[in-house]
Amino acid sequence: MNGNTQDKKTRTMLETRDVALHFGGVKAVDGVSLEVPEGGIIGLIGPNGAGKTTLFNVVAGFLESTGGSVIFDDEDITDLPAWARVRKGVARTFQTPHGFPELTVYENLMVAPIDQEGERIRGSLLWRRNAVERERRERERALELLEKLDLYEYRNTMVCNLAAGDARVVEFARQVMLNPQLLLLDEPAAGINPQISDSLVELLRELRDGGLTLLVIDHNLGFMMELCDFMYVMSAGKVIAQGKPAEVAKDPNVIEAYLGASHESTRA
Amino acid sequence: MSSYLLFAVGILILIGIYALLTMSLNLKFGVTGLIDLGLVGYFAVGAYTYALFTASPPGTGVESYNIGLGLPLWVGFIAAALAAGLFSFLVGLPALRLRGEYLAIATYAAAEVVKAVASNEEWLTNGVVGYSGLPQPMRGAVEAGNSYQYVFLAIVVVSVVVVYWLLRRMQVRPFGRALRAVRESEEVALSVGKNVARYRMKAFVIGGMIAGFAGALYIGYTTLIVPTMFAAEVTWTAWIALVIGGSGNYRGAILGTAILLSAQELTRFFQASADMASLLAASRFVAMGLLLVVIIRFRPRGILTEKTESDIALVGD
Repeated sequence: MNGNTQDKKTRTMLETRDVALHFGGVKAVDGVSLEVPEGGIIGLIGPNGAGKTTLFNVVAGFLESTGGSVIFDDEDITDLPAWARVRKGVARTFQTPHGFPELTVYENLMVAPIDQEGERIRGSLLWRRNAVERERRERERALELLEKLDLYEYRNTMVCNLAAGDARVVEFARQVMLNPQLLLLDEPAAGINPQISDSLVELLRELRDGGLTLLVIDHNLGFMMELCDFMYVMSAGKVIAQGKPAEVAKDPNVIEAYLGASHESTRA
Repeated sequence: MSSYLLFAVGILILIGIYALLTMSLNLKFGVTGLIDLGLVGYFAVGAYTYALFTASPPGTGVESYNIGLGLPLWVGFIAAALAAGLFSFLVGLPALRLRGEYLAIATYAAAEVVKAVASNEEWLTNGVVGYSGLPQPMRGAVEAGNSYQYVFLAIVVVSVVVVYWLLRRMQVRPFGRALRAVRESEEVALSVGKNVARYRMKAFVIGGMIAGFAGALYIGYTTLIVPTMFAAEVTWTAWIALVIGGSGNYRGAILGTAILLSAQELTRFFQASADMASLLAASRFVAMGLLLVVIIRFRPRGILTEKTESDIALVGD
């Protein structure tokens, strides 16, 4: 199963083996096997309806697969509920970033960290030094992250009052607060102005250098070409191509999947 | 003069007891987003538990009931909270899998079951006759006579303050933040590793325990218990109070209860001729309805609203 171009010494962080999700006769995901090496930034592209987000949902535990398995860090997590996967280190963002609408930006970030002592009833009532210090540490991280993402001034604004692009950045920041090992990003650059999207690429690289592994879906091919080390291309629930971004862009299957779809839509 | 004062004390006691119920609803609905239309069920379970635990053993007087453990009153209060908590847990196991209005229906049904059991299982609850002459907490603290009302008011006030303090402490800390997150979006809460089902259950059970304690307090005040005391009206009162006061805000819950109940009780003073009396009685409900409509029109979130936590609230600079 180590048949791709990645260095064999790198550990595989995430592997999907023949993952399938069939809704009755509709094969939303149809036997997808892919590997995400530790420390990689792996892209997942494909036309609308290819099954990318559905695959994300299966990996993150938000949809139950009808076949295959999901291996994370050498452990089969196929049967774990979504929240338990997050605690193992698999985080995801949502395509439509609602977040927690009536919590402030700051609160949205502060909810995320795993195993806060103050999150338990006892911990919240006693509010001992450990809990307070944890809160203080997380607060520092949150404010630092908001500063970096140019959202500091909105920290006490409810997320429902943010512009869509800002909400998307908050969505991303919240999941970074989890300190995940693997982050699944569903269209992180959609609706974000180009200036921020550049700083987003920079930040993602920085996070990768800090040990984070990324699996990214996006429609913006320019953004993806710049960001990713390796790409998988999905169409109609299957992986139809994989390789370095430059190779993938030249792959005839990929060109057909994208152009073929647009040909049909112009005819229709 | 003193009779007016006693009347006022009586209203304050009622407000206090209902404030506990409204605060428990605020934890469930205001903070966690659970639509619970069965509040009176936990209230009743607490009340009956208190009665069964504290009534003097049967067979010593004219009582017709089967069960009376004759235990100290503080045991009765603790047992009431625990029994209501256990009942909440059992209701919650199947019901909390449901969302929104389905949860509302399931909880409403659970409360109706409690009421049916209270009326029909005579071996347990003594049916429609119920219990009377139940013991009151700290009755011995004062000489016989009216001044006991003040003692009871003090007990109620202390209860409200303690429950408010505990709930408030939970709300502003990460636990409350997580509950509010669950309310805002279950899906997103799952995506940050929160065991949503467990948080919902925690809020449900704590809320149930508070309601059960309120039920025991109510019985400690009235000294009698019959199934008709546990009509769905009790639930509606807490809901209306919460909507008026401000969902998500415990002070609002108390304020809303105070406004609603004083409006209800004070309108009793309106004098009218006999033929107008029934009209006036009905118009009280119209007035309540109008109050609710006005609040929803001009302050849809209630008089006080939920406070978000600013970035310096918890640990400061």
